[in-house]
Amino acid sequence: MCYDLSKYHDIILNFVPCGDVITTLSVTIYYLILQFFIMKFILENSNKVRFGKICSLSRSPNLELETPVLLVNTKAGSVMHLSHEVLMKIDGPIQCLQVPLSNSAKCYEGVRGFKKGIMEFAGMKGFLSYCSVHDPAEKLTKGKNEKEQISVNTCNGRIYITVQRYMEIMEAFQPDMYEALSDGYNDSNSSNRRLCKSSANSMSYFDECMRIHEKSKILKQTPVFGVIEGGHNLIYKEKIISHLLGNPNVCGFVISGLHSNGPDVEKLCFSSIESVVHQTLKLLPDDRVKVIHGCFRPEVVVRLIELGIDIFDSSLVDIVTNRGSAFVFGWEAVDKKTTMVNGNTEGDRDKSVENELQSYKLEISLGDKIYFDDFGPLLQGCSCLACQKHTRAYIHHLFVTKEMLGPVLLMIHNLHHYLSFFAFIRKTVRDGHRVGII
Amino acid sequence: METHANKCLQFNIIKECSVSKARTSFMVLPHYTVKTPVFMPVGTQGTLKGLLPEQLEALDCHIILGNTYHLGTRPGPELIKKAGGLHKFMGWNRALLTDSGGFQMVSLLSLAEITEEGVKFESPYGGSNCMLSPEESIHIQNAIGADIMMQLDDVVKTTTTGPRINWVDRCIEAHQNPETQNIFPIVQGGLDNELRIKCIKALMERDVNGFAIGGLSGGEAKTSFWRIVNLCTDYLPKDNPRYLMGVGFASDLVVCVALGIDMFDCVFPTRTARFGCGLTESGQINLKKQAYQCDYRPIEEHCDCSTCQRYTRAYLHSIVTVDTVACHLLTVHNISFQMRLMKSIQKSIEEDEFPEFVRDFMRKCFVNKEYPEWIVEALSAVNIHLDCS
Repeated sequence: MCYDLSKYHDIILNFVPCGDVITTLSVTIYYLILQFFIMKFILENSNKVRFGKICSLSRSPNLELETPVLLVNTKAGSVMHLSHEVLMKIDGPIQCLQVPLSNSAKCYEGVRGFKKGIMEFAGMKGFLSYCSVHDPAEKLTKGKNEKEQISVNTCNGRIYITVQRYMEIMEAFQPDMYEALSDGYNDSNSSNRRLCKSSANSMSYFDECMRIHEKSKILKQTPVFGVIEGGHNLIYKEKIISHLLGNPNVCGFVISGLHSNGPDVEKLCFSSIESVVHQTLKLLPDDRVKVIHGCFRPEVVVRLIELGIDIFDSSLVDIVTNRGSAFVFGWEAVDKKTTMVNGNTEGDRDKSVENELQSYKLEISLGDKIYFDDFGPLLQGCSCLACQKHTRAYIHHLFVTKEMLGPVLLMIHNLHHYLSFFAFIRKTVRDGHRVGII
Repeated sequence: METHANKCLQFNIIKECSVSKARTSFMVLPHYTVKTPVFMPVGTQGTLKGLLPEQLEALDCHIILGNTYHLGTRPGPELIKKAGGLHKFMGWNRALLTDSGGFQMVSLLSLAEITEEGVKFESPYGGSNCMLSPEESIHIQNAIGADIMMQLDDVVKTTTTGPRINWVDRCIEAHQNPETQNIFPIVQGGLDNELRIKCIKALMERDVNGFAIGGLSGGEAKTSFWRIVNLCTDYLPKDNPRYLMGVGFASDLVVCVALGIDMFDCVFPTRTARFGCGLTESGQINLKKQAYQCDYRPIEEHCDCSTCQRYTRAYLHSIVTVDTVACHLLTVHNISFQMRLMKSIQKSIEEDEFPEFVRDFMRKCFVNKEYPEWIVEALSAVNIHLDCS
């Protein structure tokens, strides 16, 4: 069931300022109701594969995000290699952009004076934004996180950010959703001592974030996501969760501590994270949104969606593009047998679900000499601009000569492909089917 | 002289300036009709510095340059031919011009040696000796298939004893596609008036549809530069396009249009974009400078390019030289700046208001009317007088 709450939101906003006599009572009621409108997650199906929609975001009450959502990762608010003009040539549905602090902190002074938030500052007015702390496409190089501040590795070197400063940046950025600050230096290999410290730090940052959040005129209507650190250790995860659940303003949860970002995440197989994700989800209420960051391979993404994760990011697109590759993987509705036009058409495939994990080709590498005189598109049947207008031979030439158009064309193709993949997932789970990768 | 060559280039002058030597025209080429005076952005290796062909079309770019030396090395003439020419290979449907490769040989390769046969050089991708002869240059340029090709010229020798005219003949002789491609010979002769005149006279006897003026963007004194340009346009036939190679600063473009030049190329607008600089009417601005951190204006007010419509100097400042997007955004703006300048020039010539346009341009370009002497001299040579008081 979905209620169109946005129109009530407008009515309330219009009603309050126009009354000559605003009683204390009506103001109190207004804010009480407003709490309800900060963000609404409507779970439309939870018995098979879960899907739903996020709506009534305070800054963009008329926009809805159908889950599972793909956050398109950015570098300082811009999609990597793509200006707004070129991004508009991609016809896939971009639901929301992810703005990591680690690559956008350099915009802070500019955004603060600009007063209209990071999206408009970055030329992306009209897009929804989600602010995270780290860029999932970049491997975390661990620094020393203290009780009051975290260390973040940026393109301009390491910077230290206090909770106070983090919240000032969020106030300037004016995101549609954001994560509370956390101590993200933990993964499956972390020592108990590190996990303990990371959990303690994260809980203390969270409290301080929420204290500022609730007092901030700009942020208090913005949905906040609590970050569950604690590596793969369920004791720490449980402790953090019960702490986060103590605050009713938390709109969603980020299951963190699974890995240290960057290309290594691709190597993670589902079985190595299944248990910790599953157990963590069991501790979380059904009606809130769950996020996992990182460049998981498509089949892992599909399995995480089946476990109950609602939000992912496009860091795999950045990583695949930067290594000079184009996506060629395909997808199908497993128990329905309708294969998408996109996808691998070459070679033998093992269709059985059990063996599908390793049986498909994710990408082709355009630096490879075999594409020197290949005048076919990156992917047969793909409708993106790069495939419609350019050949593998041309893009191979652009890579050999290190020309900047090479990554631009690959980014167009890869983002288009990945957006189509997510659009297919959303449709297929709504039709009651499972998604397979081919 | 009425031969096949006329089929693939028509030069239709729309209007001549009643005061100076400026003119505006339609140059009809096999792939596109180019309005002149025109600035041709440089797309060295079959791509224009990160821009999509449709972005160049949106910028109303009519013709771009490719470099024969680079394309001949990678991907090589055979592959380009197999792709159906450079237009098809890179997805660009409008006009193309290729240089001869000789200039890159000499400027990029320290070991290049020039003989009567051609330019001898050591391959940069392996130690073997290679030879770029006039025939080989045309062979590669025929495979590329540009609307306009350049003759192979001897950049070194022409400055001392005069050009090797027989190389032009060898180029014309080797040309395989006279129906679809033009060869422009290059006027050489350094800063020597007599050599330039001698060269022009010899070249005018050849069956060609246009002329290039070479050897003039190498850092010579501006006062010599404009005199040679002026001399060449005096002697070159009026009814053919004249292409001044390697010139692209805004004030140089305006002066040289007044002197009668129709075509220009330069790496400057795209190169300076990669260094984080944006072009404006009053010169270029370096967006790395702290001063732009909170400057919420576009690179240039009233610029209608996709960058200025959406992005501020402040945003560009925060991402410049770090994120590739900044480079793409500046490249779009800088090409748009050049295109807009050429359009204003064309319009002012059409309306016979070019001299006023020049005066107005120079006032914006040089504050307090501190005009460089060579500009004042060059313009007054074609009856445009700047108000220097």
